Amino acid sequence: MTDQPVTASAGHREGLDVKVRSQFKLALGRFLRHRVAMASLVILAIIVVVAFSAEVITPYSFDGMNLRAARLAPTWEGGHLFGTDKLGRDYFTRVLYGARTSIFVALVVALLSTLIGTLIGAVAGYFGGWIDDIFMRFTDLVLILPGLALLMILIAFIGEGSPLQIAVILSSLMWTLIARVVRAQVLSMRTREFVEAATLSGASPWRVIWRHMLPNMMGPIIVNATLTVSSAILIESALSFIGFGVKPPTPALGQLISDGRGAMQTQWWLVTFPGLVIIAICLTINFIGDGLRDALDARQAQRS
Amino acid sequence: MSAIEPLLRIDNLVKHYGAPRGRKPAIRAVNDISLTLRAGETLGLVGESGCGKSTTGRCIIGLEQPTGGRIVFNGRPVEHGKRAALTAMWRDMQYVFQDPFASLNPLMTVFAILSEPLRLSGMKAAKTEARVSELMQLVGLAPEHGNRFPHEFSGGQRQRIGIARALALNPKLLILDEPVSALDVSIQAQVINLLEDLQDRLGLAYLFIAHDLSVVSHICDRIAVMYLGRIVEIGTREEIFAGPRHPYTQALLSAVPIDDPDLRGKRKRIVLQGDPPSPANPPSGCAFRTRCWKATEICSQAVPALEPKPQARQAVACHHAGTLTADPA
Amino acid sequence: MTPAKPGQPLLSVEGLITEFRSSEGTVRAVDEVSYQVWPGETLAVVGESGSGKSVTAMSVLGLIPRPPGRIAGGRILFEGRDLLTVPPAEMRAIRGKAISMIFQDPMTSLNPVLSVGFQIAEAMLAHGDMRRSEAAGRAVELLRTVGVPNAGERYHQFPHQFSGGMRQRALIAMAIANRPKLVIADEPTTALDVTIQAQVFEALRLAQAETQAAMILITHDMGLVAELADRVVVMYGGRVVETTDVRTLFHAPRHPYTKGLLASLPRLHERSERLTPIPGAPPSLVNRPTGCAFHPRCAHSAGRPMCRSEVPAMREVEPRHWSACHYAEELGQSRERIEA
Repeated sequence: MTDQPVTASAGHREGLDVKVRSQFKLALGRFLRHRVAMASLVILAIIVVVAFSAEVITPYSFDGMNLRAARLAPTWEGGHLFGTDKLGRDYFTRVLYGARTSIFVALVVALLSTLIGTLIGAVAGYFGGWIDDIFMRFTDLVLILPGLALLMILIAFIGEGSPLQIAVILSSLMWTLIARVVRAQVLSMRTREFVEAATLSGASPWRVIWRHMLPNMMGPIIVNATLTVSSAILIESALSFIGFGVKPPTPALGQLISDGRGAMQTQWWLVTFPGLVIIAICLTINFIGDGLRDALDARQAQRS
Repeated sequence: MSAIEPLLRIDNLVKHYGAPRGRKPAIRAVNDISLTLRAGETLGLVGESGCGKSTTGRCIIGLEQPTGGRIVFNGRPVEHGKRAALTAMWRDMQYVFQDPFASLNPLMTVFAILSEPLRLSGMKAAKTEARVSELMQLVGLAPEHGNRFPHEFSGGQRQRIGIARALALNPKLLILDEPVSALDVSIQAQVINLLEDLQDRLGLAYLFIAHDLSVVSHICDRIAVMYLGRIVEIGTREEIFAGPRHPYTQALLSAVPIDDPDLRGKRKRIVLQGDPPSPANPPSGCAFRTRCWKATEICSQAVPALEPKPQARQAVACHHAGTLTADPA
Repeated sequence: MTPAKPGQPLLSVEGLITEFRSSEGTVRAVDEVSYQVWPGETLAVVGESGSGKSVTAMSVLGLIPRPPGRIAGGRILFEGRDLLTVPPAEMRAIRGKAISMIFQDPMTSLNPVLSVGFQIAEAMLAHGDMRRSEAAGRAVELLRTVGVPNAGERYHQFPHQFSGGMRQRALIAMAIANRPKLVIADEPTTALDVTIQAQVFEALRLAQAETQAAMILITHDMGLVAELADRVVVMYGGRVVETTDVRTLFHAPRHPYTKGLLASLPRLHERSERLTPIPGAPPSLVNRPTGCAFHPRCAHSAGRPMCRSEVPAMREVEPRHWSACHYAEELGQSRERIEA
């Protein structure tokens, strides 16, 4: 009564690798076929690479003033692709460094809020009862707080407004989305048979969460982390716009728009270019998120 | 543990779900169940969906917290809600789930799945490896397939993996929750034979939860029939199958299709009217009276006790089981 | 290989091939399947998961999702017309009138926001010339026919107010509402409890007595086959492996798979004897064995290269008994009868 494996069994060790990779390949394949997401990925990659190699790309520094070349409109020949501002700083350089700051802030926010949100959501969902009540009421509280106002107060108190500081403060309010997603996932997974089996095998709650639940919900977590990146960019820009974000002279995209808004009639480029970059980053990230969701969801549907 | 003390003893187990503050009526999943299971014995727990058979199993192993009653396993009361005590108990009592596709973590290799209980019990890595391949051989899988993932196995093979995991720490009792009902028919017999072999070899006791009477009739020494949260009849396999006394048991047995076309239309067949009542709102007295052809006044007034009847050794919870079996109207 | 019966078959599936595109290449779910259904008879199509039994029925109904599915060959003759060449609009008219279906999960086949009776009446109005009041009256009658108590009241209730067994009966009522010539029932009792299954059998039997429709009963439950079928088609690995009348199939099967399947079933009342399982597992669609798909699990194939190299054709091994086994003659002796 030997139960032969259904798959061809020659060289199963190699066969196994092929199989696993092909599982991953399927999701990747679906993502690669998602045209909008792929185009978005390419555009975003270009923005990121250009922003983070600003030193190599432009001969100017972001705070290098040249009053004789102030308020120049964008030209190819003049060497100022995006023009210059009222202090004669090369605006292309300013936008690149601004994008770099904004992207840095957004990535740190996504990382931190995913960590915090996952932790809180997992604990609330797994333990349930009063722990869940406390954690979720707290989450609700953070959600209903007037976010921007609270951020302004926090930033005003803490002061200097370095990009990292801004990121930490943003994260302290932005983990709620992921906390809710993770809690819902954990709740539904708590009664899954393989999770119960792990408990019966003697696994501690932490082990059950870490080893059995989290790896099986990486899809939703990644998708939501992606979406957090784009909202972080927007919120950081909004904060900078009203003067509570990253402090000058370090440029950030919202801050550039804020500085340029007074001269919108005469110097259109001061608002337009940072604005376009914000739109480009947010749109591409959202499209990538869509693509990831489709690719990963399909994998989950196939498995069940 | 003395010779007379059973391996598992359940006294008056009750499990109600939901609404303690009482807007909706509580679901009475399990209502006052008592039974015992000796070492090495197989007890079948049979009934239709919603009768509380799985809830009973889950209460016994501590996946659910009972509302009332007492469960004594291996001479010790089961301490629900106390993780350390439960973890210790789970070395001797394990569970096999119904769905072999849902009960294995899709991202773990078979080796990782089987070694988890071993490592968590403190076994060293080298010994674990030997034990895992021993377990795989025990359930009829090739040890060299340990580095494969669950999706690379067929349903029957996955159920073998689930059984191997349950056996890892040499338990005394396995609770088998519909272990073959999700499998293809040609595979069910393989798993049933495996379970019988394992019992012979390892001296295991089984609590076999099932809705399929033919499967139960094959593997069980004793059978308890449940209806709406209560045991309505309990006895040895021969007693239940040769002389069922409870009208529900009789109906259940006669409803099983027999795979012999020659018997078509010749067999007495009891077709019950209606559906089982909701466990949120059970009928007064005997829960089966709403579908029973023998029901009289008394059935709506008193819950029949589960007790031995004249000319029958099995215990039956029916006011009319003393009278001779009559055909349904 | 048409059985010698008077008249024309109602439905004749001939050499049907249904393929699906998947990430692992094109798979053949149905591989040259042929069977006939005669007017008024119940044909059971038996098989395990992946045998192609449901895909064949879906092909007959024109319900194969395209893509990824594709009917790559064969003919499906219903009353002499090839359903594969019928335009979609006309196919919709045939489906629900001349051919109707009963699925495993009645909840997905009923609209949750319309009353059950209304849906049955609607099915009649959609396909026939009838006044609404007339349709309503007939719907109540149909509910009564399939054993729904208080049919008049039940008419106005919604699907969620019906239990699983009741819903399945309502679906049977709907399936026979237009007096179809053929009813296709796909695992109609699988999701139900034993005592409810018995009720649904009765309903099926009554419905068939009422309409004289032919029925294709797709199932893996040999007990159900023994209770309801006239003839049986056994499928394995996408192909038909055996077909004959129900008594011959149970008492003298001529294919090792059928034989093994019958031997492996746990039976009620039997003493606890060791079961005799079929070794191995049913083949997956992607990795179908060469030659006879059953050969890796077959005791009769040992040392016989033909089983591995040649796909066995269906042969009439005795009158009105077809088997796709190279060595069907060896399986002549009948199975021991079960003591009741």
